[in-house]
Amino acid sequence: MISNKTPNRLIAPDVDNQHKIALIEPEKIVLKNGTQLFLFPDNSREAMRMDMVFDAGSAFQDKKLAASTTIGMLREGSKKFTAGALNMRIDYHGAYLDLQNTKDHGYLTLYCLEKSLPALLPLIQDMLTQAVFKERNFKIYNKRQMQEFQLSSQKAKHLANRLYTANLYGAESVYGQIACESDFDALTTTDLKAFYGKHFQPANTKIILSGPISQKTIHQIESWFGDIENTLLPTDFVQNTLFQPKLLFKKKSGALQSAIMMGKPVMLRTHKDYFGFLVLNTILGGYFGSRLMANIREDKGYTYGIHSMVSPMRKASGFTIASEVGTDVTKAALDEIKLELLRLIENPVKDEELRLVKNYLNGTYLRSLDGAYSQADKFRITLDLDGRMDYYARSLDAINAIGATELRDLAERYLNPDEMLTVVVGDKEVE
Amino acid sequence: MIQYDSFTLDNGLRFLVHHDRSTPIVAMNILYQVGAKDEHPDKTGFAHLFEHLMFGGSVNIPRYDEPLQQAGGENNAFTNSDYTNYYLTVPKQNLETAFWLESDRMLDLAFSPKSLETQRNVVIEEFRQNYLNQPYGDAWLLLKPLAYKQHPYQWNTIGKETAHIENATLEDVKDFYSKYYNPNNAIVAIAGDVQTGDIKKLAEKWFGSIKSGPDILRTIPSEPKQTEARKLEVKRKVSADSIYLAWHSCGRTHPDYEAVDLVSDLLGSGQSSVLFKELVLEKALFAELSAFVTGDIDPGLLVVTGKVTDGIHHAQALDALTKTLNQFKERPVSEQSLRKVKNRVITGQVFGDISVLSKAMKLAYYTYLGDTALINEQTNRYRSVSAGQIKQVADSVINESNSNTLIYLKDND
Repeated sequence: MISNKTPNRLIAPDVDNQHKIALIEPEKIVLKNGTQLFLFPDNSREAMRMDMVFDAGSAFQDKKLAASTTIGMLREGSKKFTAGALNMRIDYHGAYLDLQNTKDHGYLTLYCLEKSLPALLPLIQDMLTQAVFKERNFKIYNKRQMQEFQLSSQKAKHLANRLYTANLYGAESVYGQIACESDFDALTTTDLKAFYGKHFQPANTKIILSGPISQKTIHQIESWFGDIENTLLPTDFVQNTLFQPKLLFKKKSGALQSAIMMGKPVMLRTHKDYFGFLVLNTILGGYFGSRLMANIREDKGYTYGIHSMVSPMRKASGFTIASEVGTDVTKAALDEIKLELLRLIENPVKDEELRLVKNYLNGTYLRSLDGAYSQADKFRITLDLDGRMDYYARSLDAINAIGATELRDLAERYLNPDEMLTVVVGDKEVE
Repeated sequence: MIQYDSFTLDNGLRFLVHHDRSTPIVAMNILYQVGAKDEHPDKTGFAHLFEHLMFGGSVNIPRYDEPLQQAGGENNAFTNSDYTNYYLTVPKQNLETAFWLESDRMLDLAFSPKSLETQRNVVIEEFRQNYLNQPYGDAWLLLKPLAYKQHPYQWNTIGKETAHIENATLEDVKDFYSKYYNPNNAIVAIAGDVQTGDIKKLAEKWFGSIKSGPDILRTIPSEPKQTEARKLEVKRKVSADSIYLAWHSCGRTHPDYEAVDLVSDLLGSGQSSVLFKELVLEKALFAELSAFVTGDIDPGLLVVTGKVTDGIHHAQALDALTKTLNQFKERPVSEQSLRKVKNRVITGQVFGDISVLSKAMKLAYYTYLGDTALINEQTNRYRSVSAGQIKQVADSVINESNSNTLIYLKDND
């Protein structure tokens, strides 16, 4: 009921944060060759999204850049279709094809209208089974990637990220490997063909469909992707994290801001502390009203933005605080970050702040799980676990149950600034 | 098709309401009809700085963000040359919190000197992070004043220089607020599982008593027709030579707008586009190339930008680019290519209309353009563009005397 009286503006309207999130447990179909297909139907839409997930991230590569170049070059020509023909057909049907990789996975995402899917599946199938990696196309593609790499090398943020990643996981480990310019020269089409043959296999592939899904569509998926011959077993890798807390500085002359990164390896998604740590991270730097933002941006004005994040992967997770701050206030900003970490270790979070963060997180879950497309997107993460959307219900239960004492214990265990790696890239060295 | 209801309060505040029962989230978008083009040439960057101050607390609510987060909501805002846009999403049962927050900051701001001081610093850091401390970050700071000599589009939303932001006073802030942040200069759009009757009640309750402001008389100088090619060459510490080409085009509601937009897609959107295919994939003269329209309300720009391949001289690349553009103008566009770019636009719209936030944003924007119904006519306007029209706009826009060229070279020293 909405009252018509003159509102009392000093009192906030009542809020209700008991959300019912309708999680979709997808129907799972195993194709003849073992490829798994998951369905997130919404038949009220025209928009079709198809995600293909491959165990083909950079952690699987024997040579640097092989993973990203292989997936990136899938649209550079296959046996039946030249690069030009692939591009023309994809564009003609108004479709968008996104090819990406992370450390764990390769991702192919196709966005199109339902009616265009039958015309596009043959192209995708040929890209996945008969990509040709032509020498000339590779040379051009590789050079473009190298130029992009050179451009990113001029950004303090990227330089910091490379140094940080190498030292967070260990430069010799699969998660810590960092490319440099000579790696582009060393890469060959032979490397790509080897990676492609080994990691783009039905046994390594999952398909997620979201949007309008008819029986006809399922049959088409089965006929285009179910008959691909499976020649290999699933692949795996080992991550040997080698971590030492330290302060690293890299000079970037003339930089007006310093890029700062600070953090350490933390627990896997399956660890009992994981969900609680998500709450702790949110309080510290995971939303606009976080302590780091309130202090370093909104109170001090040292930066345009400061965030902290948890990056969970299959074999390791990282916790990271990142910002770009004015050169002259770099030291002051680092001191304030440490202060905020110590505050979480020393003082329990007050009820009001904890309630706010929990409400915010409940809203975030509601938003990020809104509709079939969003849920399909979120489902990808669960593929490394048990492949159930129920993961998010369990996660929310744990978030809602946590108390201030547990959070302080977690802060003590995971947020000691002396145990962290700090990377600064900028014009002025800090001690 | 996006269905909507609309109503206007006595104080002039316009409301648009769209029902979408498929989601538990409601989006609210408030557009204020003020942007960087309303700024004084010596006080640029102000509309955007002001956007930051809108989060510094209002007359009855010390902090904007906290209660919204308490309600499980999330918000953000952006400023461009034409308008300032505030948007939020919130679980539907907590929508009244949004009305409370947004109406209070339309009623009156807190105007604290501390907030001004801090946000001046934050915006200067934003200036550094995105424009000064960024390779090619100042390209638009150079390109816009090259292309515009009279119209305020000559400066960027962030401002001409950090000094303009440093010099902003609390007096400026108050004047700006009382001039532009009034119900008769704003548009509210709400999309989600809501009833128009309930929205009307909430609107009356929270916004109804806010007094309207004086009518705004705008005297924005129009840009005289460009008659001679302009060229600027700069050297910077970047990794590759880069080329920016900009031609004056039409405004957002001009009958040619969709045709010019499709020209930009034909040229440089997607890997099968003319420039990308020929100059990146086939001749490898550019490592990157794209084309787009700025989409401003007053006459905007058609822009082509590219990074030259390492080892290729920029003059050779520019030459080839000019040649390809001329060929494009000479040859009639094929039915297949035209259909392709239209299909891409249509798919983009179908995907865009999934989220309530994007629908609320569009409703407010098209209302600002002057006719909310345009929101549902866009697709047809794109569909009806003919090959002849493509040729005609390409001819009139892409030519030497109308061109602004920025050659952005790497400094080898």
